[in-house]
Amino acid sequence: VSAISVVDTVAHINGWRHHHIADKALLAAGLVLCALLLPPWPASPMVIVTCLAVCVLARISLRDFVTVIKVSIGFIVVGALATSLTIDVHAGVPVGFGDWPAALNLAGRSIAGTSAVAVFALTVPIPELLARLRQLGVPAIVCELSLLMYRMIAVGLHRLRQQRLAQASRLGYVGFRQSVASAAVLMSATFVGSLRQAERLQVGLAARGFDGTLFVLTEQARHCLPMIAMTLVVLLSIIGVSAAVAM
Amino acid sequence: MHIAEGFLPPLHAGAWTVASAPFVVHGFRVLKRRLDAHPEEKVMVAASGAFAFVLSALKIPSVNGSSSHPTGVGLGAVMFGPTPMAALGSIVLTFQALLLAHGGLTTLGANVFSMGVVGPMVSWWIYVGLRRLGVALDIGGGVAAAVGALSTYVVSAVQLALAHPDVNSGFVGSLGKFLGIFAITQLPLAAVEGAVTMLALRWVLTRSSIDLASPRTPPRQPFGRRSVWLVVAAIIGLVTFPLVARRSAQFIGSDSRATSAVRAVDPGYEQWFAGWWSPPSGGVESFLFTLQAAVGAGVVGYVVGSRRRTAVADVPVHAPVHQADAPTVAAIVEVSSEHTSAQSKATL
Repeated sequence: VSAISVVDTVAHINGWRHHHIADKALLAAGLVLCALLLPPWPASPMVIVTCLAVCVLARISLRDFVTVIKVSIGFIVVGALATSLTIDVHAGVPVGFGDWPAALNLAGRSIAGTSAVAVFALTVPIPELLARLRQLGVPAIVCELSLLMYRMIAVGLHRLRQQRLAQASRLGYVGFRQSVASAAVLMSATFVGSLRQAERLQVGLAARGFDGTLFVLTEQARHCLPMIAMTLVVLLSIIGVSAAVAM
Repeated sequence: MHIAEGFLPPLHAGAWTVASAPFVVHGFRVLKRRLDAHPEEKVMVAASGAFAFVLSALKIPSVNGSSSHPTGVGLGAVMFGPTPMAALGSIVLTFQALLLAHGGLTTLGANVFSMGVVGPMVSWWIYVGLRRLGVALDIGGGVAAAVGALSTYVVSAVQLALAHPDVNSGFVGSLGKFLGIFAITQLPLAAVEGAVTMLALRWVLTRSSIDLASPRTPPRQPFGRRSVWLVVAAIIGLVTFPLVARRSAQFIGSDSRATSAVRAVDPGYEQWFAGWWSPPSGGVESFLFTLQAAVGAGVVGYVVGSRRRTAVADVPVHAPVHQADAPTVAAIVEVSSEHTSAQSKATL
């Protein structure tokens, strides 16, 4: 199962689904800022532990959480290793891992930040986020295009998987040349298919008096004071522990 | 290449956000103007943007047995032009950060700059240049996609190198490091992406009813008066700014700066090459220097003048008014909306 279906599904069914989006945004933004601005030890492990705790509280299975962030962690590790390699100008070739504490810090910071963003994405469905952003004054064009795109992505992915399965079952991905050719056909067929579908959708919408605005129902949520209080306590304790360790 | 969340220091993340913001805002303004005039195109534009996201789920084969996904930068730029790509690209990258944990929110600006601004622009200009030279659409699009993908990876490497300079060799060493490490995967990947894009464009051209051919030759527009003045003002600004900002500077040529830098790095360096001929006196040297500049200016002036003359002569009276910014969405949608109106009339 790919990350996108996991994120989308979990975002709609998790335990925090009905909390106010601002509460969740406060927590996520605070965690990202802690990961980014505080010294990585001990802030990064604390942020990661907080994210895991949130998963438990919001009844998100840890397997889903790992599915979402594992690819990114791979990239982060490779990138951090790259930063720790040192190059001697005179020798011209890389010589050893010079600055590995910095690399470790970087990886910790980055994994913590990615986890915090993942927690936000796993608890907030995209349509709700876009509706809230619209209320906050983000231009209509941005929100509406994003919303339309979001709704078409699922259809496009489904189309892509179906066509890929059809190609694979006809030995379309045997050998390198055949794979390139099949990928090209898949890419263009998906594109043509999406445009054709958009045309049909457009006809349907035009017949119903579409003037460019999509009306979507969004849930009215209330702020949850205990949750806000807990968020503040967690964030302040991360900052406090960091300050204590720094002294 | 997506830069992960937390990988850039706050200052860098902020700076790249500021750098890419004007492109994104301009892209949305262009799109808004277009969609306000033609609200029926909105679904189509969104479908194209969604396709750009779906591409990231498309596995393309890579030579070393692994696979990765295409950036879609080239294809998007060829289809929509660079300006709307900045806007659509920023939405796509946000979705990738949230739905795939690929890239990040604080590094969004840096990623938009490499994949929404520089990549499409490079692809677009290469594509336009090749088309003007008479290269076929699919081959031009394929080359543009490959070079565009490479350019995004070079920009990402620069961004990473600026943020994490090497302890010994600073920015240059770090840049070499990132370029070298990611070249292993990115060079073959860019080549494959070019090939896939070429074949895909060929498929769309020959086997679908979508009309790519008509908007594909970008309009040759003489520059408007306002943009000429803006360029002139920018040149004057660029030339005078250093004079004012650094009054005490000596403005040594970059070649002698390079010589002294080499001496500083390696005092024992031996010159491995010497010119065959050196000018007899300083006067002759500066005369030759000026002569070359004058000849160059003459050639440039002649080409600009003659191109302008042919451009003015070429424009027919009923020239279709293309927007240089968004030729393709416009054209695709024109085709489809004719379709649509015909169909809806039939239905009614």
